[in-house]
Amino acid sequence: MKLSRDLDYSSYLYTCNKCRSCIHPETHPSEVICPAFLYRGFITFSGCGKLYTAQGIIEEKISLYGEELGDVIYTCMNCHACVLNCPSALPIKEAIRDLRETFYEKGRRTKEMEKILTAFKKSGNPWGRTIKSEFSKEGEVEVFPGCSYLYLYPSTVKRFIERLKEKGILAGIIGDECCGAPLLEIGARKEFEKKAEKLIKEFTQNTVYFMDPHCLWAMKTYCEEKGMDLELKSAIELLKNFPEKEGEVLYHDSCKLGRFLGLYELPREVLKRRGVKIHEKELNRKIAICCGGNWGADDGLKRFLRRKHAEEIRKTEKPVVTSCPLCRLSFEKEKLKVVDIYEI
Amino acid sequence: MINKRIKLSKEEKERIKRELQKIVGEKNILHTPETVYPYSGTGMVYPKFLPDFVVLPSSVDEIQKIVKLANKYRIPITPSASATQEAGIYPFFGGIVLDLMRMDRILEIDVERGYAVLEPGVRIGDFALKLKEKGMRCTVGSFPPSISVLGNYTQVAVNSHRSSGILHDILGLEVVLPNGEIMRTGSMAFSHSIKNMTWHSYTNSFPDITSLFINSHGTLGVITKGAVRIYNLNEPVMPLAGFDSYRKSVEFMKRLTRANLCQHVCVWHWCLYTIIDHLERFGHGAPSEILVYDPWSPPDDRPYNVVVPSMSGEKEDMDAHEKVFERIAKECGGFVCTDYIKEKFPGAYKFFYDHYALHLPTNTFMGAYGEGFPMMGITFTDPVRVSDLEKWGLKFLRKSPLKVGLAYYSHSVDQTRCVFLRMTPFVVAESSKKERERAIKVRKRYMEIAMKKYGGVPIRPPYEENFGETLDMTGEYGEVLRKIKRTIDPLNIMNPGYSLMMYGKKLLKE
Repeated sequence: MKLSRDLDYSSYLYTCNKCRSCIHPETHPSEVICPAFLYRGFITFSGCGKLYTAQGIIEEKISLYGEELGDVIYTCMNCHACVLNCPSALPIKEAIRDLRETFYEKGRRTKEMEKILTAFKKSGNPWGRTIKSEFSKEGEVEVFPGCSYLYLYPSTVKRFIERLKEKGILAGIIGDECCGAPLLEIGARKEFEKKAEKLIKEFTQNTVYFMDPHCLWAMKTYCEEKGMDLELKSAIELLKNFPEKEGEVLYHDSCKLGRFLGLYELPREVLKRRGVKIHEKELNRKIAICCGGNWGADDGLKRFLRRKHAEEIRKTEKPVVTSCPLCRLSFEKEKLKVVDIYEI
Repeated sequence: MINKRIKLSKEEKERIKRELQKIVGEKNILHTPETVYPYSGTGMVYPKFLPDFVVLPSSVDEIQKIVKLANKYRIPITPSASATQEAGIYPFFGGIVLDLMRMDRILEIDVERGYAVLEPGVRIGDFALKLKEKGMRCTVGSFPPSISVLGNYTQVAVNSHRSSGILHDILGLEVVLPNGEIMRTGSMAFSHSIKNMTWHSYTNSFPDITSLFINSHGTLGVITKGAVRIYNLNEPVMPLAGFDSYRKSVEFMKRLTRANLCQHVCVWHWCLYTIIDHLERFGHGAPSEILVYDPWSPPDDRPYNVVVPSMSGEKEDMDAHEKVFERIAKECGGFVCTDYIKEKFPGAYKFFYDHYALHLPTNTFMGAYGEGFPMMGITFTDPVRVSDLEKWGLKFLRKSPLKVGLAYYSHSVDQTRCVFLRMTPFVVAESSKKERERAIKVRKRYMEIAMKKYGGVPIRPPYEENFGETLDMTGEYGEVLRKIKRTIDPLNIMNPGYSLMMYGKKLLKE
């Protein structure tokens, strides 16, 4: 059967050697960077396992109605640690995407998917609550905070705007609506596109700054696929000229900001420029481990990851800096001292 | 005796599942087609056979219980470690795949005695780094850091060119036999009756049973522990020598090894070190020149072969070794090309240095779209005839209708009493599945000629049809092996898929 809308797997799908680099990074072979493998221990749940699953479906050895197919596909944080560490650059990213989209299109649902879809149905966002922005849309730069910031951390958005103003930058806050990133994560592509299309209409400028890297990734994906020439940027760039601040922090790499958008250094540069001393985690940048905050993944896996990080972070006795609201939420759930990069 | 795919009723499957869950815990077992599929075959290109269960044991005790359970229900067990590349999984007959990678403890690093004791899940990259901290090293090859040490060492030709210059580094093994009992080999055989026994000796005054388990691919038991040789990480030097023919390179290898100048030495064909250079610098893919040019004519002044030694010892000794290396290279018609390779092929030089001087595995090779693995013709060859095999082999493969880049590497084994030659065609990204199937046929023909005309010994039985054909070529040797298998494993419980490939249908008939 055909699995993908734009990829001929036959060129690549038969060349995975099971070298396990998608599980253990070359530089740290004693570590496991695949959250799902860490949680379950079987290659089935790794990046290489996703390629095999894609092959099994294409060759019709695996039924799309298999009772545990959802478990195989969604016991995965979609963190792309496997994608970036595969030495053959095999299409794991596409396999994850296509497996999710096919699963969704066939009407299959996991518990997590149901939760997200119900929330969207109710309120147009994954939180299941109506979110109303109290901020002005008018400004010289356009900033999209995303529903996670607006719902969970409105005071962070408020302070960020105020401080931008202090620096002489008038920010207009666009969008009460969710961009649809959680829908893209779970494979509900059409529904995501509707949300993205709606949001794009709200943009009045060619350059838009995103506070949440999930939204930035989703909208970049949309614009690239539709051939739209918009300049979408991380709002962290606006922090560059903020005043100096003393302190020491532990930096946690957000998967979306780092592996997906390639912005490993931007938050570090901003922190350094502002005089904040950064402590690195042993596994950082390309081989950082996901916090367990992403949409659509198995709940048990998320809990497992949160606890793993909490244990590690507590040992450092340092506040942890995040550049993503979902990482922040994950760590806060574990009662860790978290600092949002927009709050420094 | 298990001689066909087992069929379990729903009730039987449920009962066995419950019993397995009792042994390993609910989370450590998979049993649906969608979850077991990644364990259903070797690499992605070969046919798949779904196992009924995949189990992650965590101890020898659990493995014993699983083996006893398999005996009770007469279901196959397919042991598997990292299962990277050729070292695959063959659950032709269904049953239980034992994924041993959860057992990943380094039980002992005994610097004084020069060995380490490992569980099968220990990965070579991890092991090499832990040894480095103690000023020691293990044997590495061009394989990636995540593969199982024991899985690799117990299969002599899987990702070969080991840096110790011998074919395996196993001192002794602990094995759970098909009846569920534990056996230890080497000096540790006596641990059965003597308390403080160590793994120091591979021999114990009786026939060597350890070697019976080398290349046995889990057809005789489940390897649960192994003692492997470790070596001092001495001061390394790595001069490189260039040659314009393979014949000269082999002569050089022979003289180098027989003069005890190196621990290991490997010949790299220009196409292959060109690819490695590309992989090391760009991550994946292959440069177009290896597809455009013929394999006999390098496009510029790069040497046809580069010979890379693994040399280490005391500094004064190494200074002298380097001089002798240069003299012998010249006498064999070659030249020292260290600076040239460093400058023109920095990626290849780095790869060589990581492997031959630092003894740290990297996954450089894995970037080459699966390395063309179904097409490789690999043999342990007669050192007198190996140069002719290289000449013929390249011609034969060039004539074949395959869209591949031709390349090879070759290394000395046992002071060049034997030469390993691995023709390593590289798949180009657009190779189709059909083309790979065609490639398997080409390899088969290559192997036939390599054996008949050049004394090449295959490194493993073929995956294709005519199972047992290779073993049949060995006469009584094959008969003895089948008798051993039948005696140790009368029900053919242990890896019957690979048993079929190795021992052939004769095993099942008698």
